[in-house]
Amino acid sequence: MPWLPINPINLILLLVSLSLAALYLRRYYLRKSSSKQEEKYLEEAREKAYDLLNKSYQKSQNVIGVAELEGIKMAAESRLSTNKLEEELLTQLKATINQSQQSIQEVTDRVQSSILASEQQFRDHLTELQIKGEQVEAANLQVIQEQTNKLFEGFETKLSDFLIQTEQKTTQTIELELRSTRELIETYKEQQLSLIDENIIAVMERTLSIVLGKKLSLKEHVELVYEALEKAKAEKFIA
Amino acid sequence: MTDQLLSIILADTYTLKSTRQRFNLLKAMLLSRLFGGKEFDPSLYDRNDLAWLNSLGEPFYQNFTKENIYQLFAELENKVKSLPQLVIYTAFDPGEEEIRQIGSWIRTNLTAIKLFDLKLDPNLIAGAALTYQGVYKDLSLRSRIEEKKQEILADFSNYLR
Repeated sequence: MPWLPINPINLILLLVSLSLAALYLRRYYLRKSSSKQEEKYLEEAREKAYDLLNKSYQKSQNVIGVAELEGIKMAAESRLSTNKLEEELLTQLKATINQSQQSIQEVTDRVQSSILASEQQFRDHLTELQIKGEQVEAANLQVIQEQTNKLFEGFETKLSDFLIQTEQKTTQTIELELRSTRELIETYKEQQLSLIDENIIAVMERTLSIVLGKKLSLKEHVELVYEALEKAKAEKFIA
Repeated sequence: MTDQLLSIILADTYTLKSTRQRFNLLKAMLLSRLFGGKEFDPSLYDRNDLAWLNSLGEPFYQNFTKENIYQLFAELENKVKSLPQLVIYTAFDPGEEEIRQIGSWIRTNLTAIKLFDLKLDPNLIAGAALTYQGVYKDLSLRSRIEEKKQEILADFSNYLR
């Protein structure tokens, strides 16, 4: 619904209301400050106010009626103008829509062509990138190969040096161990020989004791006792 | 008289041990014969000792009387103690015959010795060791090995080197 413009009816109503309100306030104050006379005055004023009110009411009714008539007239006029406006707007809108559609179509065509162009550019760019990527990959492989070869050569050299050093150290250690083991064996041999030297006589005595005890006859034993006694006599051990 | 009796007793007796045994045998037999009392039992004694006892004969027994038997035995024992003591250590255990042979040899060649004591020492290996008047002398095979120790070791070392 279209908005109605500010009309005199409302202004009139407003003025009437304001005047009524002023009047009421006046009466109230007059009532308040006066006595009987005031009451009389008030009464008179009341009557006048009532009268005025009635007149105002009638006037306002008239005004309202006129305003209503005006309003109705205006509403009809506005409705008419609104319809016209609507038709105009509709026509304009259609025209605008057509224009917009055309422009959209143009834009769409332009966008499509630009998209196609961009797509083609992008494809070309991708192809370029692929080629460059392959070139870079080949170059990187070359570099990696060269670095790996250098690394292996260095590693081989260091490993060879390390193995030679290790071999030398191991040989030295083994020689030291062998030397100490030989010395140990010699020491052990000397110790064992000295032990044998210390004990050989005891072993021999024991062996002879066992063997001769079984091999010598009683006669041979007695003869050996004779020998001992003769020796004792010869040495003048026994007088 | 004591010397005479002792020489008869020691005629076939060479060691101190057998001398003591025979003294005991003779005394037991004479005491039984002279005084009666406990009967003399030959089964308690060695057969060889009994044979020696029988070999002495009646004339020998008659030297002993009730009055002199104890005195005579005391004198005989003192005489035996006063004899030079020789101890012979051997590596073997000689029997009666070997003891007789050794004793005969000693009485023939070492006239001062009438009796000796025999002890067993297997460590001597062979030969004998002697103790005379408290002095010990090793004349056994063991002592000879000790004397030749360095020579023996030198010989062994030739094999070991």
